Amino acid sequence: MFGFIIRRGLGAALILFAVSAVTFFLFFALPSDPARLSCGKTCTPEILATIRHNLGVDRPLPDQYWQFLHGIVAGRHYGATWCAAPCLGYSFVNQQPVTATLADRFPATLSLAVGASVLILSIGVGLGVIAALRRGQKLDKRLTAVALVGSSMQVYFVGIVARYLLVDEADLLPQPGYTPITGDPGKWFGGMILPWLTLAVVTAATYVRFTRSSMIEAESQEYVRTARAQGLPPRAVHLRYAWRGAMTLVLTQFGLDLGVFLGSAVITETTFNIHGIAQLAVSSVTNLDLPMITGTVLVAAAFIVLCNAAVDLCYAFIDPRVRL
Amino acid sequence: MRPLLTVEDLSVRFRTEGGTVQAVTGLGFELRRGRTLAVVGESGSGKSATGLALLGLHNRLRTEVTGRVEFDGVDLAALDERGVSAYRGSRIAMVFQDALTALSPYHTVERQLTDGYRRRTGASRPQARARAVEMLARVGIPDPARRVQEYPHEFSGGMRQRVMIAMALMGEPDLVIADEPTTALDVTVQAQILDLLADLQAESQLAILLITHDLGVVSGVAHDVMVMYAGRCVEYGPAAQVLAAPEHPYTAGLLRSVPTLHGPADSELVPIPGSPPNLLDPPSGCAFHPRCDARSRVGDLCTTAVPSLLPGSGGRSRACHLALERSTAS
Repeated sequence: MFGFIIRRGLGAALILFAVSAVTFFLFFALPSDPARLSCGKTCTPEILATIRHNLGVDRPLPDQYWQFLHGIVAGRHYGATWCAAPCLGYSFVNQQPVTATLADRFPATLSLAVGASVLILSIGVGLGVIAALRRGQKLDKRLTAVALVGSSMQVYFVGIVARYLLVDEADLLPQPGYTPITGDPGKWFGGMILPWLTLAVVTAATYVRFTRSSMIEAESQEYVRTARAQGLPPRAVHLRYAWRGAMTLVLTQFGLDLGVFLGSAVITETTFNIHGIAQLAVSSVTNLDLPMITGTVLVAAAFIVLCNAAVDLCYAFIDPRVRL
Repeated sequence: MRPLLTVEDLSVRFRTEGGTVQAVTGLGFELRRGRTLAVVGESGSGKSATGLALLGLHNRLRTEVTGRVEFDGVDLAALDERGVSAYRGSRIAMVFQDALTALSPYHTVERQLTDGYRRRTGASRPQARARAVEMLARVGIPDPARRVQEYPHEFSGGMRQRVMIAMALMGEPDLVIADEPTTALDVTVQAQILDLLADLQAESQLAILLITHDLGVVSGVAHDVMVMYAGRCVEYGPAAQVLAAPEHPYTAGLLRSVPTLHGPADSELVPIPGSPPNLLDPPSGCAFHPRCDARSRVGDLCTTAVPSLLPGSGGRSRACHLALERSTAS
């Protein structure tokens, strides 16, 4: 198990390195000159050259990449400005190191993702197991129908309707929005309830259906029949044996979905006016803020790689054959 | 003495998308303590369906079982899931064919051996583990105290099948239903597993229902044999006599298609022509008639009437019009 963790960790580091290289070189393939952007209206060739030199963009490409990596590990200078490690670049649009902006925005996205995941998995898997246990009965049919409706909904629709009904009209929930958890935990929670619930309604439905079908699939496995042949009652057979098999499938699906969640975070953050990194990514693309784009891509990639490593770890915990 | 297991008129029907499959029709047999009854047939002959039906282990939503399964005076077929599950693993145990898929890959051997046992007996975890270790030792697994904590994929094929048997022995059963217990194993390991079953039988007067397609296995360990074709018993009797002088053309055909160690080395193997019938649409009359080489000696009866299982001498019986012709002629 320990060896497995080490191997997975090294693998994750390698992937991040590759992502950093790809985004960095992509950055230079784009027809945009960062020096030009920060030069302003009264730009002369001399000033441009100075800025180029200060930014280091007059050096050969591999050298610049080395500088970039060096900045991440040990920090670097941008002209007169010191960018402390981990330095992901300097945003000329914001006049601020990329890392500082990301550190400011990332917790909002993280709160959204973690809270929603917990809700989605507990509701989705819980109801899915119940539906599978009551297969063919009234409760199962109702849950399956509700799940079908839920999974055909969209965040912006459910979010806006729920916000209007529950917040503006009925005043049951506080206005959605992000407050740092360190500042006011109560307000952080209150502002997150509606986004979390909305994401859960829209996504948990898929997990109800997926868990249900995985459970039913697992029940046809021979080892489940063996468990029955041991005289175990149906409930124990389901919850101890069939459930384990079903969870490997659900977990695999969740690992794949994490990327999708992050991709759709743009819509969620916009719907609920949460200033997370998805919104940041959109605005940096609009402003052609290339260092910021590189930064958000890298952080998003790191997030997904870490989450997947965590999923793999859970997977190894459930299925001993993976630990080899 | 009354037989431990008496099956009467057992029928199993599966509902499938293509229609209803009549997997087993009107099966009847007896099994006494300390005896082994081999159920033989090709795949699809209904032998595994029979084994599962005895313990109600088929998918209840799609399967209909009728008839009597009298075990020690109680009709198991009339019990509900809860009622039968009291017998499962305790008095009647199952050994499945492929231990790799029949054991959970997610749980340790200990967990799987003790889960049902603890539930039935209320034994504590250490007690149950001690018993599991004892059973693993009994089926010949070296270093059982260590291996009990391993997962099935860490065992070799033969050892895994021993784990399966150890699992069956946990509850000191009176009857073991072994569904192709040696099919996934190579020949030397097969012999070890069969020897093991025979030893266990000698120790505790175990009754064994051995489901197999392998006539070599039958001749080695079975006292009685029941040959199945298309869900019906076509021949039944003491294993030695049936194998030495089969009375049903199907049994004879099966024997001709198997190599023996005793016959001449260059004797030709004769396969039975054709393939097993489609049980969604079985042939009329005797289900074996399209493949039968003796049919010409009987005539139209084979295609129109289902032969019934008629008792003969020496506790033998067979379902064949040819035998009827023979007995009326004499």
